[in-house]
Amino acid sequence: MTEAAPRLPPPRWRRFAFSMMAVLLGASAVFWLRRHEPSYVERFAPIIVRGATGQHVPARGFSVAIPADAPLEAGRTLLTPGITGNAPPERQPSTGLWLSVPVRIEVTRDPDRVTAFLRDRDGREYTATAKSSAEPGRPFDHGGEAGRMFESNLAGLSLAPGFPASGRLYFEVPADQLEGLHARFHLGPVMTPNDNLVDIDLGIDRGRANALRGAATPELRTFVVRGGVL
Amino acid sequence: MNAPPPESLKQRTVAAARGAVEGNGYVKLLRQRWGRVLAAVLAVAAAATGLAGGFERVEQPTGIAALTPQPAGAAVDAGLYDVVVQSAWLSHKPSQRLDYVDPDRTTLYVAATITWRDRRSMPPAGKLGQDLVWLANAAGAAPNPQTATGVERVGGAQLVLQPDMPTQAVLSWRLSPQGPPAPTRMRVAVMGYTFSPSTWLTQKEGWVRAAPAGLWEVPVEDRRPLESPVGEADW
Repeated sequence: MTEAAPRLPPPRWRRFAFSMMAVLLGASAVFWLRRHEPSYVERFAPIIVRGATGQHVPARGFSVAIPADAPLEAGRTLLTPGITGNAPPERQPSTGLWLSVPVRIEVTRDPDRVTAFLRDRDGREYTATAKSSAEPGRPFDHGGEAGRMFESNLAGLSLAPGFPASGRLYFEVPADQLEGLHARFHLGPVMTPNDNLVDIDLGIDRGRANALRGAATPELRTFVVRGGVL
Repeated sequence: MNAPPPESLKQRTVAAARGAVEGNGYVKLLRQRWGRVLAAVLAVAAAATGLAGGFERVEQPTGIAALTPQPAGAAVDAGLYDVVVQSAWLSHKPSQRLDYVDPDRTTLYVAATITWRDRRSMPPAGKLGQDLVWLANAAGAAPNPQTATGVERVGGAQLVLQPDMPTQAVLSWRLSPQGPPAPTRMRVAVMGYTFSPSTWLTQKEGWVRAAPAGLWEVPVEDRRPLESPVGEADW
């Protein structure tokens, strides 16, 4: 049995090449990590919770549902309550369409407001029109119509846990951007949320968009009037 | 008058004040010749900037006089938004949304169509006039920039501009009873705004005011005599 030859250290050039390779690999890893690290926008982007109409979509601090049985409505002029009981409703004609979206919103942890907006396929965002300051049940008497007025608009409403609010949100959107609209909701009045963001596909395809445009009423009211003693 | 006793409160206070002055970095700087030269140069630069309008420019935009007035209906690209000024009128109504008129109050209204070009809605624009710095001055007079005192949607509702949606707005300026008589032709200028690319996410904070972008000269219709006063009791 022959004695094993002593193992020689690798040549110097090989050690150098190995070291260079290790340094290059390390530098490449650092470069790759730097290039792929999340940007400022990505780091503070909200966590999107997706849902569909008819679903109850729970998120951190609140939940949203867009009832499937309540229809979307469209109109060309939005009528909101006048500032007094005898004042005529305020009219807001649009160059596009007013879209009325039924919603049921509930906050589950702390009293807060929920901000809502629509997002089209091109990434443009349309905020919900503000709720009027009319008090619920305010007497209303104008143009041969009388009763007590109840605002359906939930935009900016203060919500308390355990008291879900059902109503509608009104959005002004270009008439040619109905297809593919998503409704988005988040807690608080900030414009750049960094918590949960509920995204609900309104399910508007081309046929439904055409139907909404065709069925758009000349006037869309945010309030209902119920009979009663003035 | 007797001298205060040693180590009195007064002496300690004066000593502390002297110590603070002697230990102050700016005072030490002024003891050096180069420090005095630096302070003098900074003072002269600040005075020159102020005299040249550098401070004033923040509130009183310059460059309006260089713009060519356009007729009503002309469209202007103002960066974040496109603007078309349509008409102007004088009214006794404090607001479009109010029925009553106030004969002691004259308001200049300017109707314009604004198309917001950002991908997000313009925030509720109760102070849009101040934010976007609309300016008014009588035709033929020296520019006298004044931000609007109010802005509403046509009809009186709150103005919120949605992306790429032309929206009719009405801006208003309350005219002072002590000021010159209401003009028959008015010049209205609009400031251009852009986003700062590094801070676009923060919306309004990221706006960068550019130069005046457009100037219109429009006839002012006087609707005051046509308005019948309505008392508050009637509504």
